[in-house]
Amino acid sequence: MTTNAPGIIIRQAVEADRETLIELIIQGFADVTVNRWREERYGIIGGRTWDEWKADDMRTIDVNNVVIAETDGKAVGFATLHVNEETRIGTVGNNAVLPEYRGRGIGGMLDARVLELIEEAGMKFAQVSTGLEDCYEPARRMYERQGFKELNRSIVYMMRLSERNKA
Amino acid sequence: MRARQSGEILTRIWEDWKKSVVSKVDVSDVIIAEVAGKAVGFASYKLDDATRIGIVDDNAVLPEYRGRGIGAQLLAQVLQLLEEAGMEFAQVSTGLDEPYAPARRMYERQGFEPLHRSVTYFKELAQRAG
Repeated sequence: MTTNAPGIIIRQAVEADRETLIELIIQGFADVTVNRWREERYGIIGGRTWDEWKADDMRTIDVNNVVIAETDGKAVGFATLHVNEETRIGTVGNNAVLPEYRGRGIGGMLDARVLELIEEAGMKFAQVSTGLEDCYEPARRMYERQGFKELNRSIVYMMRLSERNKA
Repeated sequence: MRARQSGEILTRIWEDWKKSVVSKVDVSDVIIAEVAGKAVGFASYKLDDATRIGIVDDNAVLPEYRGRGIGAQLLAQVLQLLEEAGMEFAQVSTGLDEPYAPARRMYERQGFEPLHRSVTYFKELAQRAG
C-alpha cells in the first residue's frame, strides 16, 4: 500500500520533541494553512500571527498521539491522531512533511503508521478531513490510495461583522 | 414570530432535537424562534475572546416552517449578538452538498464570504481476528 521511502524512520514522539513539532507544523503548513489565508484576507487575528495560532495545536497535543518521520536524525514530518472510545472512530489530525522532503512517500508512511495505531487502539473506523483547494490534491490522492472514501464536503465562511448585510 | 433567549423552551426541545449536541451548548448561547408560542427553530453560537471570532453553530428550522425567512431572522439576531459581545468576525461551516444550498445562500446573502472548502473521508478498518 505504501512504498517505504529509503532512510526514513517513523517513531513515536516524546515530550522532548515539543519544540521540534512546533517548528514542523509552522514550516509544514506554511503553504497550505487556512489560518494564513484568513490572515491575508482579514489581517492579524486577535493580535497573533497565523503561525502562532497554528503552533498552539502542537503546544497542547498529547505527544503520545504524535508520530515523527526522521531521516539522518532530522525530523522532517509528523502526523497526529485522536481516538474516540464512544464512536470508535479514530481521526487522522494535523500532519505535514517539510516542503523539501515531499514527493518521496514520507506522508504515506506517516499516514499508514497512524492508521495502524488507530486500529491497535481498538477503533472500528478512521476519518480524516482535508482541503478541496489545489494545494491539498496530493493529500487527497494519498488518502484515497489508502482506501478512504468521501463522506461529505463542507465550506467555511467568514465575515467581518461590521460589514454584514443587515436583513 | 420572535426570536428570544429562553431556558424553558430549550428544555422542551431537548426531546425533539439532536440531544447530544444541544445539551453541550450553554443555554445563554442559544436563541429560539417561536411562532404562536411554538418553538420552531433555534440557532446556537460560541464566543472566542482570544480571536474575537464568533462561531455560528448548529441551527435549524422545523421542515414545515422553512422557506419563510425564519432561519435568516435567527442568523441576523445571532450576528447582532456576536457583535454586541465584542466579536470582530463571524465564522460558520456548512455542507457543500445540495441539501445545504439554501443555508449557503442565506449565509452569503448576509455577508459571509467563502474561506475554505474541505472534504471528509471515512473508512472501515479491517476487523482483527478474535
